[in-house]
Amino acid sequence: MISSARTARWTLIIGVILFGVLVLAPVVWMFASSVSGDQGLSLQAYRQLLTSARQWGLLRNSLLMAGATSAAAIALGLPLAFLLIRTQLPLSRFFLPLLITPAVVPSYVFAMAWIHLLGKRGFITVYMERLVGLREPVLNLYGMPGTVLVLSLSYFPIVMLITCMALKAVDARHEEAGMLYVGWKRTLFGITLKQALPASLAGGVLVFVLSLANFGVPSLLGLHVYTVEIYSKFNAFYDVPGATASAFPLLMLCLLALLAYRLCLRRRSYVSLSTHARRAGLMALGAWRWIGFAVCCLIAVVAVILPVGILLRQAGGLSSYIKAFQSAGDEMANSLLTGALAATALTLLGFPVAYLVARSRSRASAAFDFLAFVPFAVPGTVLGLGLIRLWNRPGAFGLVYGSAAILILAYAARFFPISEKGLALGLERIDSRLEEAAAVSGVSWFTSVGKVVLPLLWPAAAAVWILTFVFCLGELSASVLVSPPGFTTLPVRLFTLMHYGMNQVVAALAIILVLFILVPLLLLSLVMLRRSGGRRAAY
Amino acid sequence: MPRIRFSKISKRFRDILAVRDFSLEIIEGEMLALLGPSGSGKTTLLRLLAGLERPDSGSIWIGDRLVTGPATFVPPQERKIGMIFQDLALWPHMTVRGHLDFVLKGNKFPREERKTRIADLLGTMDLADRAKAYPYELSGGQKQRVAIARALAINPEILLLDEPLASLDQDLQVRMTDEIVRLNKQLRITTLYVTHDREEAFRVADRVALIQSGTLERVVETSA
Repeated sequence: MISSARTARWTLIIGVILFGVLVLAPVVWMFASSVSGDQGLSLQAYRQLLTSARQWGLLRNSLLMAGATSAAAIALGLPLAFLLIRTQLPLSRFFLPLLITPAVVPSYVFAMAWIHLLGKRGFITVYMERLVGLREPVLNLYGMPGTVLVLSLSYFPIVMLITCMALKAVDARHEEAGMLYVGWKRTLFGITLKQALPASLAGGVLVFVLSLANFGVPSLLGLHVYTVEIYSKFNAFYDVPGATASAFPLLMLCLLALLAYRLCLRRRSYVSLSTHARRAGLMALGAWRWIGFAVCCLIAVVAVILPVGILLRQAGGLSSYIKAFQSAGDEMANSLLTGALAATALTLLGFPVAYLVARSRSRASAAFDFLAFVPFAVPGTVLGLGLIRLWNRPGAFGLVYGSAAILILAYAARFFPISEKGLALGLERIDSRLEEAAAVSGVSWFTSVGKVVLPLLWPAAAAVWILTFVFCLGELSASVLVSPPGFTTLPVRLFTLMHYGMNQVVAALAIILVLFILVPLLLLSLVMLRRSGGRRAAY
Repeated sequence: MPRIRFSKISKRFRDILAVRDFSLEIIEGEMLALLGPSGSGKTTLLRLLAGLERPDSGSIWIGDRLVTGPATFVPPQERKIGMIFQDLALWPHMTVRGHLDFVLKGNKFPREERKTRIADLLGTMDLADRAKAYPYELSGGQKQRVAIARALAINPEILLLDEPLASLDQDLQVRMTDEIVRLNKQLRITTLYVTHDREEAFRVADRVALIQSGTLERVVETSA
């Protein structure tokens, strides 16, 4: 067993090195170099952080945007999760995938769609003017309200999904004890929802981090937040120290929020381990179920059907799509290629780390589980800036920086947590005794992983590949900074075109991007449904 | 304390007839054990009485009050019933005091009365120094006493016990049995006790009702 322990240790070391180079190095390097001026250590770049009013404005806008978005996401996600999981809602099976969609479609696509709906020449604006003579837009999309609207409609599914899982775990007997003594209303609020609340709050914190890190939406809707400041400092003025100085508070806020998220989840787990635990039944609701149904329909229409519909309408006929393919064919190929390469790299890189987290119970593996989660708190713009500062230099580094490889590095760093978590979940489902049996039979660790673990892990690996692939396809905030000259991805192209104005081809491109993302996910969920259905039939 | 009457109760779960045409009268203040193998429908009877299930047909009276009938259904919290659930079903997100406070608030006890009642219950159940503890911080015996305190908080007229000794070690089983008998005799609470253990049933109860496949076989007086 000694050789096995040694192999495991090497897996750990390789994992740490790869992880360090990929994710931590660019960010650490960036801040290290920002304090080393020409004459040694200098905090010049950070002086303005505390002194300029502009910085306080950035802080205020960023916090307000992220705070309002996560509050709205909880307000939408918690009741929806309850309706979907615990009530006899008509068509609930059909609502779940529909309501998850906003979380996988890039948020800037929704920002685009809302500009078509509520902008100065937007569909609703024009319609309202014609109908009731309303001269002003229904809601001023530009600035804070619009940004919060678009972001919360994009991110509420995250709160919803996490709350769904928590609600599924509530023990029916805890509710019955409540029903017996205090009736259903107090049971609902005091027991069921109260037990799910920590999960909803954790989801809210995740949304907070995602909103802080979001670049596309505030940039398109003209809200001045940290990510936008970093981009414009770098892109317009090539002011790298200035950009770094804004990246620092943003990163700190995200890391703090991530820490809060971990604490939120650690405090107490209500998951019942009793063998008598039962899934709670569904509430009948009576006539109320049609009100619930109407609420779900309304949210599905506002969050999915309306935005996608307006883009389809704007794109018009087939000729726009042909034009889109003609004008951005290269970018599509680039996106698919870099996405596929990055997804492959992520699936391979994630394995050693996931194996370590899932199989060893040491303190190091727990620490690693947290570390692997950190990239989630590094906003794409901060990562992009770090990659530029690390790799943009003469020699071999410059070759990487000048090629598509830098994009793959950016993707790998950003989406590492998805691959690690996904593979670790897959590994936890494979009984470690299968490997022990192989080890006892004298099979080496590598053979046992190859012949026992991997054949059983491939469904999880395939799911991880597809998930990371679609996230890479939609990545904007790091790509927009690091994509090398002459090599543009579809989101970057889309983003640039949007600034020149909206037309049919841009809308068609957005629809194509959405299809690139939704089709693989749809196939994945169909395959997974068939697998679980087949397994159930076998028992 | 009231007498309880089951009259021609039937309850079907999908394709299983859990209780069929069941009638039984429980005398005021007695301790009656429902004895039967697992799956015989005894827990379902308890849940029907508590109002956690509705029967397909038949009625249930508590005293002179019809609580479950063809056109009547009194919700569980209005039946003045305390219950010790199998595995206790303590609320994992509440402290010991929180359990009692939640129940008393839900039953509209005024603030001052809540305070004194909680102090009383914690005192008699020997839990005063564990008031701020969460269930996962309690020992098996303490959890048991929290479940009893919660059941007694509302001054119930009826106490239901679902296999209360099943998950306890031997030592605690004896103490728990004594506690239950004491409550029944002292407070004269009509008590229904579900168990699959013949010896336990005859040791604890005044009468034992033998249940088989959802029907009543016979009722036996114990020598106790």
